[in-house]
Formats: sequence, C-alpha cells, structure tokens
Amino acid sequence: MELLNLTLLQLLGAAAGVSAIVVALYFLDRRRRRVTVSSLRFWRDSRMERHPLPQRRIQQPWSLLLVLLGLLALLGALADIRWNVNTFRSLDHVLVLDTSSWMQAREDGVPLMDRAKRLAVRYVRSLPPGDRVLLVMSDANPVPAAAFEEDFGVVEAAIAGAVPGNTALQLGEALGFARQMLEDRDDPGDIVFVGSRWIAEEEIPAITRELPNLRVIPVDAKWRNVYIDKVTLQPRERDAGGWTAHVSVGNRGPAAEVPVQVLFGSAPVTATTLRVPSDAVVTVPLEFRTGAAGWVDVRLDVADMVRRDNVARVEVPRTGGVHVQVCTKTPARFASLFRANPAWIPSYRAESPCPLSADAEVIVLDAVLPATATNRPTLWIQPPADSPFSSRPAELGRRRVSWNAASPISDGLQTSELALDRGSYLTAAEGDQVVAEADGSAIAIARPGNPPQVAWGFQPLLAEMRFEVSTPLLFANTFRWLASSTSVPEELSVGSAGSVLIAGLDGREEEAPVVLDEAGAPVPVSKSTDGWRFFAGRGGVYQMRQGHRERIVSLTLPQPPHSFWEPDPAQMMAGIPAASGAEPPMRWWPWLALFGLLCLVADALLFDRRGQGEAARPVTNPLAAMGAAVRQLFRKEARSRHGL
Amino acid sequence: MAASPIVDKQFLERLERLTLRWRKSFPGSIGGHQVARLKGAGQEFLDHRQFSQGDDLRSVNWRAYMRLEKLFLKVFQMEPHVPIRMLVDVSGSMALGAPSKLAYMQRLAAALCYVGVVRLETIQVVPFSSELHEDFVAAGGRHRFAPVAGFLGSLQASGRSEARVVIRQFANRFLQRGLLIVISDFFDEADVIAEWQSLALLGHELCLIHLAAEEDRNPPWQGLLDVVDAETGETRQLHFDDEARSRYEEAFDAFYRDFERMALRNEGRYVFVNTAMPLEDVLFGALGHMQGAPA
Repeated sequence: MELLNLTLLQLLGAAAGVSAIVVALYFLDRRRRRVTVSSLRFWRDSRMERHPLPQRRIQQPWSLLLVLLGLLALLGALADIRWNVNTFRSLDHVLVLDTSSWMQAREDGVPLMDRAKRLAVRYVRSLPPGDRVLLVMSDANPVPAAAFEEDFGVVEAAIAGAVPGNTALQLGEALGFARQMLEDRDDPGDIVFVGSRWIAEEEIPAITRELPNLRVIPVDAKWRNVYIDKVTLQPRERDAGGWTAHVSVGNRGPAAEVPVQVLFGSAPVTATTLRVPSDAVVTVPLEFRTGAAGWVDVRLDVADMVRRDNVARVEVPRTGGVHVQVCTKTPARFASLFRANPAWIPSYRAESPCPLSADAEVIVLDAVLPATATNRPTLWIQPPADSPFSSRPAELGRRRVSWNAASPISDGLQTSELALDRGSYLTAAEGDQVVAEADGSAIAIARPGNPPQVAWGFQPLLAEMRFEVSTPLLFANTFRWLASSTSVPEELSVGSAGSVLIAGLDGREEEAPVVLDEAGAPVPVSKSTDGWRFFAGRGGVYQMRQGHRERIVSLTLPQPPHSFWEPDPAQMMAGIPAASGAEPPMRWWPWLALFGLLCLVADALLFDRRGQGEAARPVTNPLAAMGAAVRQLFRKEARSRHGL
Repeated sequence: MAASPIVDKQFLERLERLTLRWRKSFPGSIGGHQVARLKGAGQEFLDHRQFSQGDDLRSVNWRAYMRLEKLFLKVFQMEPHVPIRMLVDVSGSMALGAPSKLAYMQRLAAALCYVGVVRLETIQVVPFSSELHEDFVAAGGRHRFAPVAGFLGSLQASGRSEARVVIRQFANRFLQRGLLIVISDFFDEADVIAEWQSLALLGHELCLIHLAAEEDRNPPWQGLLDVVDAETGETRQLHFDDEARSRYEEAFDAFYRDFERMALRNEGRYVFVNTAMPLEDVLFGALGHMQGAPA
C-alpha cells in the first residue's frame, strides 16, 4: 500500500484527517440552512422557536455517511490498496538491453539482437507479478525505453521495438545510469544486462565491480568478423584527379586473407588482398584516379557476422581543376603562375571590355572592365574607374605593405616580403574587409557576398615583385577564398559513428573547429585531452573546418568495439528462472474508485439541491431517497400531494 | 393567431370548447351572450303580466287583447354584457416554486383569456401586488389574443402583497358588478379574508384560484433553518422537525379552507391549484368540476 510514499500509519492518519474535516464541515456549514419561503405566516408558531436547538447534531447523517465512504474509497484507490500484499515484495529492476552496433551481427542467420530480445523477454516473464522493470536500451548513450513498468506487456512491447544502433556500447555509462535510476527507489532490485559484452571502452569500467546487484545474461557467439575500421581519401599533390585511399581493416576472429576492392561508380578501380591477423588492424594504401565527382566504395569481399562494416562509401568531388578566365593585355605574366599549379586551368582574353566565358568559375580582371556585369567570383587587379571599387593613384615609393592577420587571404604573408613602388589606394565600402594597407590606406580589399570579390590596388606580377616568393601564395590564398565551394578538400575519410576526434586540421588548438552535419547544422564540439572531439550519434557526412582548412568525414561505418567484458562469474546468470506463477495481489483501486464516485454522485443527487438555491431535502434513508430521485427523474406529470 | 410564448397552439385549440360562465345575474347593457334572470330587453320570452300605465305598448300581446279584450304585457329575459375582471398576483412570493407560481399564473390566465376572447367576452386583466397596476383589456375574438398573451408574459414578480389596499382600489375603480377571477397565492401579512369577502358583498361574483407551490404545502426542509420571507426579507431562525411540520400543514390547510368557505358562502367559487399539476388537468378537471362550474 502506498500513497505519495506514505506508510500505512500515515495513510490512516490522512484518512482520519479527511474524515474529521468532512464531519466538521457537516457540523459547521450544514448546521443551519437558509431557505426562502412565500410567506412567514405559517412559520410563526412559537413552538418551532422554543424547540431546543441541537448545536452538535448532524442534520444529514446519511449524506455524511455517503460522503465519508466516497472520500475514503477514493483515498484507498489513490493508495492502491491491495490484499495479501505482505506475501509479495515488489522490486524495481533495471534491464539494460545492448543495442550497440555489433548486435547487428548474425550467427547461423539469426541476428544476435533477436536472441537478446528473446532472453530479455524470458527474464521479464520470470519476474514475480508486481515487480517493476525499467528498460534501458544502450549503445553509446543509455536511453530509457519504458519507465518502471508493472505491466510486463508494455515492457515486452518495448523490447520488441529495440533495434541495434551504429555506435559501440559504453558500458560504464549504461551501468551508471542504471545505478542512478535505482538510487531513488524504495525496493531496488537487480540491474540485469543482456548483450554481447563487446564494449567501446578500452578498459573494463570499475563500476562493473561496484554493483552487487548486477546480473549478466550473455548473448554468446563464436565471433568471426572482419571490418573496415577507417578509410581516408587524400588527393595526390601535383596530380590532378589522383587519389590515395588508406584503408584500415580490423579482425575480430581468426587470421584471414581479406580481398579489398575500391569501386568508383560501382566499377572496380583498384583491388588488393590483405592478411589481417586476429585482433589486429592493418592499413593499406590504394591509389586510383578520377577527375569526376561520384561515390567511392571500399568493399571487403568476405562473409562474416556483421555485413554493414564490410562496405564504406564516400563521395569525392570533381578534381579536374578550376577554370579561371584571365582578362589581361599581358597574358605572359600569368602563364608561369598557372603552369605551376595544375589545379587552376586558365583561359586568356585580351579584349576590353572583356567578354566573360560561360564555363569560367573564377574571373581575373587585370585593369580591364568586363563586357557584362560579373556574377562569378572575381579578382580585380588595379580596378578601372568604372569598376565597383573606387581607387585613386598613389606613388608608394617602395613602402612596405602591412597585411591584415585576421584575413585568410593574407595567411602566411609577412610584411617584410612585399614592397611596392606604385599602385592605387582603394576606398573600402561598408562590409568590406581590408586585406592590406600601405601608409594607412587600403590597397587590397575583400568583399564577401555572392559572388565574392577581391580588389588589389597593385599588380604583383610587375617588376621585381614577381620574384617574391609571397606572390604565388597571395594568388593561392585569394583563389581559395574566392572559390572555396569549388576547391577540393584536403582529406576525405570514412569512419564510424560515436565520439570522433578532429585531427589533421589547422593544429591551432585554441581555435575551436566548426563541425556541420548533413543538413548544415552545427554540431557541438568539446575539447578533450587528445584534442577536439564531437559526438555523432547517428551515421552521416560531417564537414569539419578550422581556419581555412577543411575535412569531410563520412561516419557511415558501425563503430567497432575495443574490448570484451568478462564479468565476475558470480554476476553471470547461469540460467533464467522459470516464471514464478504466483498470482499478483488483487488490485482494488478501480472498484474503490468506482464505489467512491458512486457514493459522491448519490450524495449530490439525493442531498444537494443547489440548482434551486435551497438546502437538502429531508431523507429518511438512502434507499427511499434514491427511489424518490428516480421517480422524480422519470416523472412527466407531477400530481398534487393533497389532490384538491 | 400569432404564436404565444407562454401557451402553444395545440393547447389553445383544445380550449375552444370551454366557456366562461357565472351564476349571478348582473344588470348591464344588452349585447351579452348569457341570459340573466332579470327581466328586460331580450330575445327569450319569460312571462305575461297585466299592463299598467306607462308600459311600453310595443310589448303588449295584441292577439290576447283581441280575444280577451284585456291588455297583457310580454316579459323577456335580459342578456346583459357582463364585465369579467381578472386580478393576477405579481407579488414577490409568486416567484417561488418549480415551476414558479408566476409562470403558472401566466399560463393559466392566458388560457382563461383565450376562452373568453373566443366567446367574444371582454376580459380586463389587472395585475396587483402592493397596489393595482396598469390593466389590460382583452376583447374582440381569438385574433386579439396575442397582445394579452404578450402582456401576461411581460409580468415580473416583485413587491409585497397588500390585499387591503388592492381591494379598496378595485372597489373604487370598478363600480359595475361582474365576474371577478382572482389568481393568487393569497399570502398576506394581515388576515384579509374579510376584505376579499367585501368584494362579494359589493356584488361581484368571486372566482378564487388559489395557487400554491409544492413547497408551500410540503416544505422540503428539516432541521435548523433560517427562513426568509420572499416579500419582506424578514428572517426567522427555527427548528423544523416532524412535529413542526405537522403544525405547519395544519395551519396551511386551515388557511386555504377559510378562503374556500368564504367564497362558497358568498355564491362564489374556489379552487386550489398546486403548480405541480399539469395545466390541462386544472382547466379540464379542477376548474370544470369545482362548485359552481367556473369554466
């Protein structure tokens, strides 16, 4: 019996309190009734007034009895009173069901998840009636699927809906959550784990030894699984269209010869065979070429327990180079610059105004105007008078250029590396970023927007400036900023969901990287001892940026576990006991609630006439009153009581 | 006839076979529909009498003179136009009951008015509480029923009942004798039976319809009560038990029996109507069978 965690004594006290209040109300509120009559001439009998007033008399004992019975019955219903409750002690259990990535495994065609579900259902059915079960589905995160539920049908339905996730089991978090859930319960029972015991932690969590009520129902299997641990694609330098795929293959089983294939658009482009020892990870580089964008599949040609970790897929962008249209009267100045970088494919036009080519992705206007307004990323070199940038000529006299360190265009440039003889001062508009200044005036401006534009008030390919090492870097930074959407990321990789370490970006630890998911929404990142990390609960493609560096990671592989948990033999359940077969204590609360409501409704019908603003009518006993009430309800034509 | 908010059409159609009647013979102008026992101008032959000086020669039976050579005069019965007045109580006590006595009175008065106007009678409806209120005259056939129904429907119960004042005003205002129908609960602070009787002594034929709610005769309460007078607001604290109930019922029964006795003694009629009774039962039953057959 429980009501708001009250003991039986406290509950009886509450019932007594309620009864006392009701009786007091009957003494006080119902003691004297105010009624309105047509005339007082028949109420002036002095004997009515001489009658001793019963100060402490309850006027409507039947009404009081009905109200008390109703309230006590409702209180009992709330308290969930049960008979024979002393022979049963209901316990609260937490059932942790392993829904980690490796529960996708199949043995002899049967999914381990189905075996785990059957074991969990058997365990639930073995519990005595009245016990409550909290079902927790756990992979990297424990998620409660059914609160402490007494109806085992609900728990079984929740078990039936369990599906394996994409991350490995964080056993410490799952057991910690279960312990926390039991801490507040009056009758804590067992924490029962059902699963394969492959966990994400490298070391077995200490909590497994701290829980005396931990029971383990293992889902055993003879493990034989080869899996792709990681795939990294890197474009080869100075080889447009060339890629290197670093494939890491792991093995949880006997040593095996593993054929590895790389496919582009479902067509094999390279293949090899690896020998992977037991419990080891082997990495092999595989090279292939493609200039087109498309899907690259890395496939292990093996038949093992987990199929989903045998294929990794990543989308590669087009790598055929960026088309740059250079409008200049002196194309020879640019030839050596573009020849040094095969990723930039130039085309030259000498007309002024310069007609724009339809396939040009970046426009360079060297002191000329375009024939039509440019709608692509544009670099203006010494912009003419009618350009969007206003300028005025200046004699610089080999003044040093001061670069803005916050601008990505000036990344890596030093002030001492560039001195200018002549050029133009530019006027920065609202929203413009000043990239470089000379003598306090802007000589290079970046204008973000669509399309982005950059203006230089000088020509770096003139005179001795072209010999400076900083000039190609300035072009490279500018083109990367202008055509960031067309640039090739430095690395593409395929990994597994879960906690992901962000590595290989800028290396500036103080600056938090930006991680975006497939929908472009930012993903929270946190700093750990080994670097920045983010958590990917579900698979997908994530974009990571830090500074001007960018990486694409496709987290579509199931997260492989790191270690196998061997519990204390005392914690292992040798077998699931049969169902107790005991009858649960009878539940009285629905009948008590119904009875209580009926009592209150009967009191309202028989004794309350508030609709007429009058007091209760006299009733000698409830049965007669009920009969009268029913007659009144169905009477269509009332008759005079004295029939004149 | 326009639809009435207080009585429906089917009910009114049933009322068309009823007639308002009275027992006394009243003098009055010719044109009525009920023969009086008084001699006078009329259509119904009553008797012969000896001719005396000054009699109207038009009433001489010349055939008898030719045969007997004596002058006999033909005497006829009068058919006077008798005024019908209906005093309806709108004091505060009429608001009590379920249904309220006021609502019941409105329907009953409307039904009686309909019976009268269908027979081309003239009915003067006079509401009263502490004094006579503005009256309304219903006459001229069934198509004139809607206005009086609207008038009755607009009445509100309020004020004290002052029968002495009302009766004095009535006697002064309505000098011609006629049928007087009173619909009231007759609750008054003073004992006013003698005042009502005075109207009968003035020559009016009283038809008293005594309305009472169920709770007036059988109070549904018991125990300690604060009893409030609906008209005066006076409050009495008392204990109402079975003994007190018995005394209450005795006093109430004596009250209406006094009225009944007074009405019958003065050639009037009396009917006690409990508002729990269906109106049809009252019109076709209690009113039709009461002594003197009021309707």
